Amino acid sequence: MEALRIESIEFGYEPGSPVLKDVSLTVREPSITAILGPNGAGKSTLLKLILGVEKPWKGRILLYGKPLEEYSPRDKARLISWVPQDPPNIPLSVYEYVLLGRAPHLGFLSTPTPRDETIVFTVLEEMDLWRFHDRPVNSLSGGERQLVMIAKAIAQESKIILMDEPTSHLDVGNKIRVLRIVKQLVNQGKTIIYTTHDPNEALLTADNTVIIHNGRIIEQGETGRVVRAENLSRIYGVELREVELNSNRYVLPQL
Amino acid sequence: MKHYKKTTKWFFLLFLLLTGSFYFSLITGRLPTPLLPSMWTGTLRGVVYDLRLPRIILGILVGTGLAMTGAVYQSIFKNPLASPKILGTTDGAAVGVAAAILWIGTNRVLIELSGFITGLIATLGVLWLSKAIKYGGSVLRLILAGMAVSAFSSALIGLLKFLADPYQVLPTITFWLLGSLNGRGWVDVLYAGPVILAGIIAFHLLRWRVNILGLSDEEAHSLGVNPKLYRGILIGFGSLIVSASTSVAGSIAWIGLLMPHLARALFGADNRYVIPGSGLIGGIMLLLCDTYARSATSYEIPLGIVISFVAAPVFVLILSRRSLKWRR
Repeated sequence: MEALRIESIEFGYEPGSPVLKDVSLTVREPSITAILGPNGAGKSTLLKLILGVEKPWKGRILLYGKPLEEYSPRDKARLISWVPQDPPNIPLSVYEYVLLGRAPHLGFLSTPTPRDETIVFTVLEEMDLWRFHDRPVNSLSGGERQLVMIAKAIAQESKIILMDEPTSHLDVGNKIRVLRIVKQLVNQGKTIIYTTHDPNEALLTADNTVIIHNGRIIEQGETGRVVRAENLSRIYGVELREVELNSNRYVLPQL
Repeated sequence: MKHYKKTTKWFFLLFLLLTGSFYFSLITGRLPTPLLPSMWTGTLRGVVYDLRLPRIILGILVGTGLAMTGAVYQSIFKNPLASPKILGTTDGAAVGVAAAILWIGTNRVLIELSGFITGLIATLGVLWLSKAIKYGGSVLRLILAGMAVSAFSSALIGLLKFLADPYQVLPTITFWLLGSLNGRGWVDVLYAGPVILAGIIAFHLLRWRVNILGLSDEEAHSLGVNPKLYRGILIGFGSLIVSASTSVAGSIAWIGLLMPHLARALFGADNRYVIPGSGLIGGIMLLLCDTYARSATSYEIPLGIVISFVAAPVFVLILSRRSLKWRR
């Protein structure tokens, strides 16, 4: 089933200087799509457009066949959740923060019900985060905060989860933990779209990869076909080589 | 859960304290008052029901309203030092009060109405000006616009004081702006009460969503909340409370800044509890300070001065015990 279709969008923050040019993309459900590119390529901007925070200058975005702007903010939030790049610096406890994920399921003036609290409890238990539930989010380590942000997105029960560089601040252990959760989520029927500048993450997890450079998609399709040393050398401007280990392919730098 | 039990216990204690303060204030004053209401007869009955009671109600409403506004503003501006003054509403309302005292005279309702209107105009000015500012994000623009409008309003207040007759009018302006509930009666409750109460109810109903506005705009958006719209609604109710409070009770500092911190010390950071908790603590604090202001000496001490005397050590206590990074 087609979850998302982006048709020839163009967008920029300053008039006359587009950040994204003629971007078209289709995402099927369930799947993992990695948006790969160097810093400043327009990856996060693309996610913001999918989220509906910014409106494209040209082109359109269809969510389950319906134009994005036809959704109410609440209906859209029931379909798409967001894991930001920077962890929130707020003193809410982990439990209180993850509970905010229930907002799209509640009325304008409502507060969370016992059912919402049960859902959050279950998510935190399943992710082994309940032991932190009383700790302020801003007292956690970077890896723990990332997991808590993902927990909030799961509690939101949306079909699509957007993640903006979910592993960029993490050590190797936490990076692997996050990527494992991403894979588990897709097995549960979710559609994950995440940005990264690490080609090996895409090779390890993504069904499809979109390579974006200077605001344009230069390659997209099945990850194994798209993430090749020659494509990446072109956009990163350094020489890369491919190695195979335990039937997994990796891209490594050549110094 | 443990946290909820603790929360319920604190709310119960605060309600008890508010009820106790209400009764204590009712029987406290320069005129000796027996403990039992059945013994309040003749002049004493008039003093209790027509002088003390409206003042107590107004004190609780102003304290609750300002403290809740402080809690909301600290969350939506993501700044633990934000207070109801941040958007220039207090200084804007003070301009209207000073101008009305200077040019209209002693009609209290007109003075309060003038303050209320200029307070709202100042807030609208801030919202308009924040669109013209090109520096920073939308929250910083609002804060900067608030600073500009506050500075302009302070200059206007200075000018009005300079123009005022130093023997007749200037003391009235100064005394009003110092903050006081002296002489406020049922008329003032009827005028300011419903406005402040509407703000208090709105803040209470929206208290959980205020947590979402403490996140980034993108994150708020992803939760189905339009941050600009919600901020606008909350600022609207906040400016109603602050304009009505300042016009009726003068410039009351500290309540809006400190009470949310005391509430956070009891309830943690969740605005579901911090906003009503701040309101209760603010109501109790203002009521007790006003009771002291009107009964401690034969000449009434302005409320603003009493509150500042109490608030300064509380502020130091908070700073010494808890970091302003809002950690629990």
